[in-house]
Amino acid sequence: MITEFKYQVGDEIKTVTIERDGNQFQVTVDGRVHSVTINQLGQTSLNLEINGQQQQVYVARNGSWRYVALAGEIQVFERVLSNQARRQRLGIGSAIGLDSLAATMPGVVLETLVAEGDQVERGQTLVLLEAMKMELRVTAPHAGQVRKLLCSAGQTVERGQILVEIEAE
Amino acid sequence: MFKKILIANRGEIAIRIIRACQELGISSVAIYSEADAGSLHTLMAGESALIGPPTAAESYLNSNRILEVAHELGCDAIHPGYGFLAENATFAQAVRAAGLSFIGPSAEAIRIMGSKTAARTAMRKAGVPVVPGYQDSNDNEALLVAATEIGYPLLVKAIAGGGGKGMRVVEMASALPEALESARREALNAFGDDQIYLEKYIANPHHIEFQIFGDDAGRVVHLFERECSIQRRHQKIIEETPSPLLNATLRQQMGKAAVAAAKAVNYANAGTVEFLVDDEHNFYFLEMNTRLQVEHPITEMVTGLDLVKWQIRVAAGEPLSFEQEGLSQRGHAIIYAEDPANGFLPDIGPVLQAIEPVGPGIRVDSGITSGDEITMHYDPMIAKLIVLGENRPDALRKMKWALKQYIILGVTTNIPFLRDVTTHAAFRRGETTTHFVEQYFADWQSAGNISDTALLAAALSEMLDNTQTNEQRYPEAATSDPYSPWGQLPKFRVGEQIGKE
Repeated sequence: MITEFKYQVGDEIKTVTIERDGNQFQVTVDGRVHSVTINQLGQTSLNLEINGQQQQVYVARNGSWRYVALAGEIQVFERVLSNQARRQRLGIGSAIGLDSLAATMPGVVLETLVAEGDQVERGQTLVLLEAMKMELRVTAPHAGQVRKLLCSAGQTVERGQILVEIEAE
Repeated sequence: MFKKILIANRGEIAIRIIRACQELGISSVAIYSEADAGSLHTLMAGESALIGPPTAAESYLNSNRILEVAHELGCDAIHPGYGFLAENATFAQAVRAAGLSFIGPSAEAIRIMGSKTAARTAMRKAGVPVVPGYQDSNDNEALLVAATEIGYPLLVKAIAGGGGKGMRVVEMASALPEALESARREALNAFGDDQIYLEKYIANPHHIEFQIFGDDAGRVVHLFERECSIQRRHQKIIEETPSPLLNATLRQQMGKAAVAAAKAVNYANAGTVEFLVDDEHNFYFLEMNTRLQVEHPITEMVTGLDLVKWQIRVAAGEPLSFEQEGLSQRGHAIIYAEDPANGFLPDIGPVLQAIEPVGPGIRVDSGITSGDEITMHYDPMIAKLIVLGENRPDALRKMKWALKQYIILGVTTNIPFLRDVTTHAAFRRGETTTHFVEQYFADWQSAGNISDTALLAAALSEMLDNTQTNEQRYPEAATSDPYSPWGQLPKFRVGEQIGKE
């Protein structure tokens, strides 16, 4: 039996296929074939022998995200469940010349320094956020006009929440 | 000795203090906010009490509520840890006024050292060298005149400041007014006090601090230095002791100055005197931290003393049992602070897996365990990794090994950054100044490569997990009813063909 998994790595989709024969696994990653034996399988840990080399690996999952610890390096990528899910995700984009500036981390809006309709310079601070005791600035990526101001002082915002929309001239 | 201590803190330092209490046979009380319900420190303490909503102001900074809890639960002392109320003179005073012991210095010492300008005045009087500067007025005109006298570049600093908040480097006179304004705004936000002062900017300085310890009898000793030059945005990220910069003579001179600084404010309990050291080995008093510090474990490693236990003993009136002459440094210790970092911004989320390294000379002080949630409410420092080696190269090798075994999955941490810093050639040569990070690591980015092995392991674990779930879905003994017909069936799996070869 062959099982297939797809993962999103940057802009690419990587396909992993596994062919099982007892405790022997023939694993193909992007066309490269690896011969794998599982020495030990724990809740989150795997001791693998890959092409004759022993490796201790830790894997954890949260939603579609996969976290792998390998030789002191943490690698993070996302499982792609179906083509449809992928199209949906890549479909999120913005109109040309319009930039939506989002909070890079959850926090509280300290101050909004612009109003809708304002002309702003590149690098100008638009919103001050406080998160984890740090002051973060949301700045204009280019000169333009503030189309929408979607937050106000004192408001709690989530990561990824759009705070300001700027349109380039 | 105390019977029961309330720990007015959270995370790794609360756990550190609870451990010391347990060793000394003292009961411990943990306090927690709604965001920290069920977190590690609350589970470890003898008792734990909810003190309020997640916001620090309503929980860990709510001194009235904390004192109430201390009374309700019959505590006779409060340990503030670091951060939160640790350097709040009013709190120290309130604790003592309520008839409890405050495990820390006098409110007066906290007050003097908490004001950078009052501290500078006290230090000058005690003959401890301070960085040339101006603190006589907050008037912009006067500051501009003084700035010309001090010369550029210079530093604008908040009087109530700390951790780089309300601090600005000013390269030229034209940039001063704006720097004054933004420093004031930041200081007001962070400390509720917008007063600032000027200080000469020491180029390429080393940041070296001395641990001191005093008792009620007025004896003060120093427990040697910690080199804390590796900083990012004025936050220390790696510290080590001994400092590669100090020789025996300079160590002795600075140690003496640190003790003089502490004696000038009748200091009792644990404290840290910070110095800037320039290229010519001139040293200047920078500030004194009137609390136990995050990085105290490296001092414990090389001196063999338990600072938290001594804090408790001294607060209970016991004298220090050691003298300066009997103290020495053994080996070389390095510490890392683990911040979950997204790029360089702290990350939040669930800790899916946390596996700490163990081995000779390795210590982890952690506030989290697998399944915990890192929230946005508090400081992002979640754990510290400390190693003790025979010498600096040995300690560096040990650190590299230990980091490789340290696994935190679910939130992004600064482990890769710290590892790259300690394996950097300049760091290994001991060329650590406060500009190290901006000099060598300004554009640092996590490699972010995804290897075949990682993908393969993720896929394998996913497949095997699915297989197991299917097996669990239709197990032979899915029911506890011994008469269930399912229990009578021969082994079979739904979906599998019978008679398949």
